[in-house]
Amino acid sequence: MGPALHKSSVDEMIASTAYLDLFLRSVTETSLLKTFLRFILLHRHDNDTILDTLLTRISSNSRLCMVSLSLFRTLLSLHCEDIMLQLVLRYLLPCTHVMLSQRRAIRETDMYGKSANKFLSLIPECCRLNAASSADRDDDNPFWGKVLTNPSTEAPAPPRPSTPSRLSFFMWQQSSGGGSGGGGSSNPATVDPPHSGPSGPHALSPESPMHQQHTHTDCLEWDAGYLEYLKDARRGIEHCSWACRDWSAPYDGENPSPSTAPAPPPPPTSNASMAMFPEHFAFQHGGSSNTPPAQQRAAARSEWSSSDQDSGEWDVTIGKNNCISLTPRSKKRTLQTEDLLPKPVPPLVPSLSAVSSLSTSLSSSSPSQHISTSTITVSYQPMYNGTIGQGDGCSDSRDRGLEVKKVKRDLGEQQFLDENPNQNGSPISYPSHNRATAPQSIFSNRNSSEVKPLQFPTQVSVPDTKQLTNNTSGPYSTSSELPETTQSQQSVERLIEELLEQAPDNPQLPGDANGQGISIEAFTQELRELEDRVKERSQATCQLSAADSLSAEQQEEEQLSTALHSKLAGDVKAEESEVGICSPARPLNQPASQPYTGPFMVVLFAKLENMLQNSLYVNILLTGIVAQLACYPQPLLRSFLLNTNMVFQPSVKSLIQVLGSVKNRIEAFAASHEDFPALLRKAQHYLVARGKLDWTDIPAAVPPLRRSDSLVKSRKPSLGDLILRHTNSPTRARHAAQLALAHVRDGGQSLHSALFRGSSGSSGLEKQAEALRVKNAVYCAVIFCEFLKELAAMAQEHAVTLPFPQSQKAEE
Amino acid sequence: MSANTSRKRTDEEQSGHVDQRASPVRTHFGKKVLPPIPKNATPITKPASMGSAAHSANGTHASYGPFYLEYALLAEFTLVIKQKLPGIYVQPSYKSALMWFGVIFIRHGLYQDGVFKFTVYIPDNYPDGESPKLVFDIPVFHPLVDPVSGELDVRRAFTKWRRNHNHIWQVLMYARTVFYKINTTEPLNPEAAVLYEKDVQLFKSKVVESVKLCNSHLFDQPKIDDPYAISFSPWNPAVHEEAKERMFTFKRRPEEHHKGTQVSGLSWVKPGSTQPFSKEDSPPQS
Repeated sequence: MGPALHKSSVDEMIASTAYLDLFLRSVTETSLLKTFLRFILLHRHDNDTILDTLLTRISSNSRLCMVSLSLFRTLLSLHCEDIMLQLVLRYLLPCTHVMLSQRRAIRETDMYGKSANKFLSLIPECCRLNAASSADRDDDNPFWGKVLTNPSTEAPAPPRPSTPSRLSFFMWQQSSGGGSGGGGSSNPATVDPPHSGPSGPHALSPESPMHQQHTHTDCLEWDAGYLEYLKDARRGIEHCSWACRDWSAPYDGENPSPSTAPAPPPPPTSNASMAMFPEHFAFQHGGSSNTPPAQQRAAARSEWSSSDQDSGEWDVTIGKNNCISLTPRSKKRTLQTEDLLPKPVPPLVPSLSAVSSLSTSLSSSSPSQHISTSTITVSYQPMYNGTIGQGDGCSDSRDRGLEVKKVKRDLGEQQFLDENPNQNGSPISYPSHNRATAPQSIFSNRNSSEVKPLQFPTQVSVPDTKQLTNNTSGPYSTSSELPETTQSQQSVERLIEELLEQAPDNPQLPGDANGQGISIEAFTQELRELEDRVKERSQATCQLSAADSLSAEQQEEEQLSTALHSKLAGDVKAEESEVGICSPARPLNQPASQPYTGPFMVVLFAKLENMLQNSLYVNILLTGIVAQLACYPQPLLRSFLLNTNMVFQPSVKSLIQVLGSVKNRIEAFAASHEDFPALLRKAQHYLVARGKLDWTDIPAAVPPLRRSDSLVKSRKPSLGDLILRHTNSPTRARHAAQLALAHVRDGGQSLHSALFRGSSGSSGLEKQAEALRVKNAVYCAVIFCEFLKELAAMAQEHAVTLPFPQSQKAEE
Repeated sequence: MSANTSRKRTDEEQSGHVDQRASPVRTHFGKKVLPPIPKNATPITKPASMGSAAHSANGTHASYGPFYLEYALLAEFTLVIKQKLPGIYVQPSYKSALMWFGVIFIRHGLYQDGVFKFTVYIPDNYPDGESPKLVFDIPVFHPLVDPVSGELDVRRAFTKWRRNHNHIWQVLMYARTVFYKINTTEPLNPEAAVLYEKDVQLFKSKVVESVKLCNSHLFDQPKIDDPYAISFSPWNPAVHEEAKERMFTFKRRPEEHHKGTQVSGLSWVKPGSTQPFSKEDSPPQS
């Protein structure tokens, strides 16, 4: 299984990941499951645990990302303490992510709905308006608001019952162990509680007043769905806390004690995270000034180890990029790398302190950038190094040199890499978004580009000692080193050429050896050309493969993001140059022992932040996973995700920050599209229709695996859950996708057709790409609003959930 | 219309009561969590409840405001349950979540054997308003209880109600403490205060009288007509034994117990360790 998961081609990785998922979901024997989990969590393959490898794949292109996400969803649904410990909790245990004064607050729940309010306030204005106004002028609209949440719309909507008496509904629900669940909404006419509270001492009569009131309450338009979300949140949380009742510790910030908790990120993990998320560490700049010396030492140490690891990673990356052509060589290179490892380390330690002092001044000079615009600012800093800062740029451009070729190579192999040029180099590209999330870029590429800011490892892998010294001094002696770095650049060139020669066939190779590395200008020029070519090419392939629905969709996505990125590039430029002034020191400054919430949270947040560009399916999976995490009752996790009042260390991105940035993007998008409200409505209709169709047709056909089939049937997330179920297995994912496409072709109310109808007439792939971009964004807006409600509901429900006592062995 | 329920409720309460008398106090402590739960589940009501629905039709369309108040109160009630306050039971009224019915059992001290019913009134701008009011059904003879209205002087303990710091369970706790530790400064019932300081014997006898009076009205219909009002009835084995049994055997479970769940609750982490799979020996339960 280990080697299978590390197969070199993406398709094989997808397949083996999907199989692993399937295994996990179908294993019923606990000890067998334990073996599987132990394998995932602890087994090492090429120095990385399987878990880490899987984590890195979340940020990969959409199909690999989707299988990986669904695997993680399966893992989370096991409610296994060991998994949660490895994924998240061990990073939160030391409580370093929280301001010291806030530690007490970890155990607080959202008593007064403040957090819920905060979440709900993030619902973009454009989406609210849509909900309200469309209700007025569109007959069909209540469909969205009501049918979606409750079929009982046919009943004349009575006035909302008094708040107080509705409370008693909840009381009742709570007392009977969660209430009637989805029953109320599934058989609205009879208002019949589906069961009489197995736990309650008295059977509930159907006439229970709360019940009636409850079902009526649902009939309000705007917040109609909210009660469903509350119920669902309650169910989820209760289920989860029940499942977690036998965990070894409450994880409340005191037990296990933060002081005795082992240092959270063991090297392999920090490696993975650093390799993947330089922006995370970039962001940590702001916080680095208050790092105690001891921590800095630790940082140095872990940087050591992580650079060590990274070089391995880098090598692996190359191996993957050249997976078809260069596989035998990668092994050899790994060895070389290991030999070279000790050398770069000494210069590393002094550099760290230098950098940290630098960053101190940096953070004091531009704190607002680091905090307010945090998510964006930070993410494109690394890119900036490579593009505009001259002295620093050379070291980066070396990397770029490598990557450019990789891009070209990959083009030969995989057509859907078209956004890569954007990501990797040209100054006009829009690096931040790519870098932060780049969902569609292929795994290996992403990996390599992420490694880039970690300059040492990259250079370490170059088997040229002279160069090595150049490189290590390069980043912090900035501009003075230009001749030397050029030289080293050229030697990198040589290496690249060497590498390329080994590659048996390189359809795209011609002409890429000239012009780059000699000057940055020429280099960027070439990148531009390359970018154009890539675009053309992918568009062509997009056209070609239109028959294959799934991959076509994917490519559309790719295109879409390409289009978006190049479009956005202009906007960011200004900001970029601003930030760039202080950025040169950044790549060095990566104190790994800064508060860090673990690769899982970071990758999820990064992905989440990029929601607007994600496909519907990715978003549904993604929000599903975050929601599932939010169900966990452990105060550490709960406070991290759901307590919006909590003050985290500046280096720790909070969920609310991420969501805030998504909100801004959605609003910006809506502002730039006049027809956004109409599109949004269409998307809503389409999703509802989808949900209905799926619920009527499929549940019967598809036997439920290990998840509850009885999720509320009519609400939106259940649609999400439904799609989740599809995507849980690749075949079903395909099925679902085809289903979706069938909808498109059927036309009717589907958004796709609405969008494409316009574009198909006029010439153009450009338009099609644009349409896809719009489609993703509009779907994202829909999902986003629902997701916020879901989170708000969870925040509220956590406050009113009673813990379950530990089970006695006997009764289980 | 709600007599039916009230009767049931009565039984329930009485069973708790009797049980408490009959058995050592301790056992009751252990089960403290349970009583509130069956209580809530009890209501089998057939009231035309729509009446209560009327006054909230002010439908704040795009506002979740009502949810917040509701959940704030619900969260308060959850806290009460978690606190496991000794000898105190509360239950929100059917008609308004801002009104909670309660009863307090005094187990020793001057007021031993006292069973005092009370009502908590929560301000509707909770949690930003004043402290909740607590009014005894029958004015107990106590320096801090108004001899006419029966209201307990809560304000002195919660001069300013601070959200996040003050919770309703603290009010309930305060109501209990008052009977064990008597405070006579600035009394609402000066007579009681003076007697307590000048003539404890007389005070004691007055207290005993008051307790007797309260207990003699125990089986009265609740003062406030509400399906969830707390009322008592004499022990009736036919009804109460079974209820008692259920209370003691009750196990709370999540609502949906579907087949997929059996694999949940996995943990191989040794208590005190934060290493995965550190617990080797004992077979994990499923």
